[in-house]
Amino acid sequence: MSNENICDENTLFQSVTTYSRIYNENHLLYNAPSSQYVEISIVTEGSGYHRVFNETTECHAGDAYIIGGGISHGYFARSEYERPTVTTISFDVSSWFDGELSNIHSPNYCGGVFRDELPFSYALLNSKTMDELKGTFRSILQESTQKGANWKVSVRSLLYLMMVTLGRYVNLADTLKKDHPRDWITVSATMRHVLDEYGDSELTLEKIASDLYVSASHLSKIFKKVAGESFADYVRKVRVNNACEFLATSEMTNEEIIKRCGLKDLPSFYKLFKNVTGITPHQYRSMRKSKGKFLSGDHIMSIVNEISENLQRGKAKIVRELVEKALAEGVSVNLILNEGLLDGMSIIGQKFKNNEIYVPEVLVAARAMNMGMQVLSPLLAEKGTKPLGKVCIGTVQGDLHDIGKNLVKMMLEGKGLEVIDLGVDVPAERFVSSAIENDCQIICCSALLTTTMGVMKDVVDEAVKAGVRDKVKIMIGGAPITDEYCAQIGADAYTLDAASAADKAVELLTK
Amino acid sequence: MKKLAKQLLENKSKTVPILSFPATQLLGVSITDLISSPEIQATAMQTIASRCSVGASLNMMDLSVEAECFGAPIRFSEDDIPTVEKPILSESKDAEKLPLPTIGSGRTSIYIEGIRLAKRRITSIPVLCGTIGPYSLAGRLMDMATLMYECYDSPDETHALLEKTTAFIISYILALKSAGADGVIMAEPVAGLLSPTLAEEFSTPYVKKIIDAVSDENFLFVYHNCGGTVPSMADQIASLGADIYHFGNAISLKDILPKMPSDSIVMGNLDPLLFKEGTAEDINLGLQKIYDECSGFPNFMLSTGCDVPATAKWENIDAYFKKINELYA
Repeated sequence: MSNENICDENTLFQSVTTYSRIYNENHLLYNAPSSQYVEISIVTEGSGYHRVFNETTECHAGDAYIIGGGISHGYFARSEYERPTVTTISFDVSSWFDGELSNIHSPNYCGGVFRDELPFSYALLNSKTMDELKGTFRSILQESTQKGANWKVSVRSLLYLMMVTLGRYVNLADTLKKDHPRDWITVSATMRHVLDEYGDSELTLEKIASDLYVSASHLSKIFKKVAGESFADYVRKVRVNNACEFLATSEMTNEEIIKRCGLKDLPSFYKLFKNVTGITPHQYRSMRKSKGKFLSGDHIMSIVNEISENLQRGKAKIVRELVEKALAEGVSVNLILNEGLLDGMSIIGQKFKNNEIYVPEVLVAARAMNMGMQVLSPLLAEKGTKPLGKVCIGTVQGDLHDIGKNLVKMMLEGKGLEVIDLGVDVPAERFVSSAIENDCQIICCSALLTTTMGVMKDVVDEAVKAGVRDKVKIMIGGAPITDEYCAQIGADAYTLDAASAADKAVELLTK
Repeated sequence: MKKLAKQLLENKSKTVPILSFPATQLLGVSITDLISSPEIQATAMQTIASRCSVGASLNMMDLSVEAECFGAPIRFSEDDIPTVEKPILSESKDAEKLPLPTIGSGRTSIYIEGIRLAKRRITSIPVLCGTIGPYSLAGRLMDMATLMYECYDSPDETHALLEKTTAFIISYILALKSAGADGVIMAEPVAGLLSPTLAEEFSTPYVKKIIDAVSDENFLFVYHNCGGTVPSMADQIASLGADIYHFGNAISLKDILPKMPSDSIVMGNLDPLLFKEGTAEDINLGLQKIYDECSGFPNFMLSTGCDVPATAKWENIDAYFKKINELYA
């Protein structure tokens, strides 16, 4: 088992569904619904009995029980005076244990009581961070692999860690439950319905509401409140998650998958799948087949780090290839942009500010970023992602020097701002008219010559004249410019270097 | 140390500021007049030499002359120094087809003649001509950002371009020298934007080649670099073998002085903008600060950090010379 099998926080939470069971007469049955699930049940209140196979033990609040594999099951029973309240969480663990899943599915393993071995308290759980969780997970798996220990070590460790995470989740669920106990149970039951019946293309909120004896409008309202997403979104997510599994683990055709997942037709399947995953079903299947595994958090971060590092070295062609590769592997556009390209440019900006690198390094890094952006831009536009802000920049009229202006432009783009480059020799009126036409929040003026810096004052005056001075910030820079001059002409900001200009622009936009 | 350099050091009150264009104010001529006429250039140099207590006379630092010879379009203005309007090369390999200009083309003949006339009229102090450096010239032909990309992408072609700019600058300096120049001040400001590694490959060797080609015992070579990265490439600059190193105010002169050869003069570095934007008091304070920090170095001489703007206030220029006289009284 390699480190790459370690899931990240997102994967972890995406794989979790939760529900509580309604008691059927005297006992509550729980089981892992299919071979890709592991279930953990936690006694959140009260006490009673827990039974698995022939072993019956008392159970109390804070105890946790696990079941792995579709054929395993256990149940909770009420005691003479009270009954336990149990929350059951179902984990889709197929994405965690690719290739190892069969171990968990072993019919010889059906769960166990962790009470004695691993004390389970909310205080402990809340003190855990996800990094600690992943670190522990990693070390246990590595140890297990090195020692060739039997799979139970890994599974038990994994389940413990799931419980740690679960505890945080249950706390949240518990709060909801306390505030709106009836709603919480209804929504949990609705989710269970969806998980069981997602393949039914006729599955509707109305149908489930009818089964649960509530009105559809009430269920719709409480579902969004408790689950944090609409019923329709939840159903879509469940269907796509299952489609992913079929794509990855079977030779089913798209038509078969559409049918199995209760979807409408091929175009709507493609649209839905791409909306949720960012890639097409075909790309997803190819990726899973070629890699034989899901992308782990570590793997994703190693790709985006590679993008950032190559950007810093100015390797434009490699950055482009890596961005394409990352997209093909299913890494999200935003992650590539923020953690890869913008992170790389941010480091470059900081190093330039600290005089650790020089203008040429900034130029080639910015060029590499642009190469990456060429790949991402259409996707960002498709997603409707908006830039942090819009800036128009130019060298003032009479001045043909552009190196400083170009550096600032690159640094601004490196901060995720859209920049309209007006070039050199730009008249004051054009700065202002461009800002108005393009809805820019900032105008940046550059000048190298003492003879041309006066145009900056004209830009300020033009903005006043056009009635937009309160809507647009004016930043100035260049060798002859000083803070005093900035104040004298009534501009908003002067910065000494390109990296500081970009920081200042972000500050002005977020004020 | 060459005899001319020794003479400069012997009288530190006679500095060598980069001062030429403000002469237009004294003569009542435009910049266009100045850069178009050898006669006016010589008169301007003579005017400054007689009004100001300078150690050498400099002709105009017009860094568009060489690029114009290669065919770059130039923007002229009545009140501003000429500048290259747009690059003529989009990539280094285009340089292969670029003909090496002949000396005398463009405005080189005006500057050569200007030096000839100035040398006849100014006899008490050395007359220095001015040129652009090889990398900076390449940056004017191509545009600086593209040239920097080309250093990474097409180093061989970039070297070929630099060979061409170097060859032309050598010929131009030799022509100015033949016209009577006692030395040259070569401005290589764009090298001041380069990383030390790139400068070592794309600027320093070519500057060295020029120095070796034009220098002799009676000809001073002044290397001017007003970029901010000078300290990081101090060892390279020190190895060039220039007679005088002239640095800008983007750096701390006191930090760079110990790194320069003790047998070369190091000049600098009063902010030239003070002459235009500041007051006489600003000039005094600025000079005093540099003096306090650097006067302990025997090879240090006060100067401006770069070219004094054409529209500088003459009261500030006069204050500069007055303060220097006080400091070395």
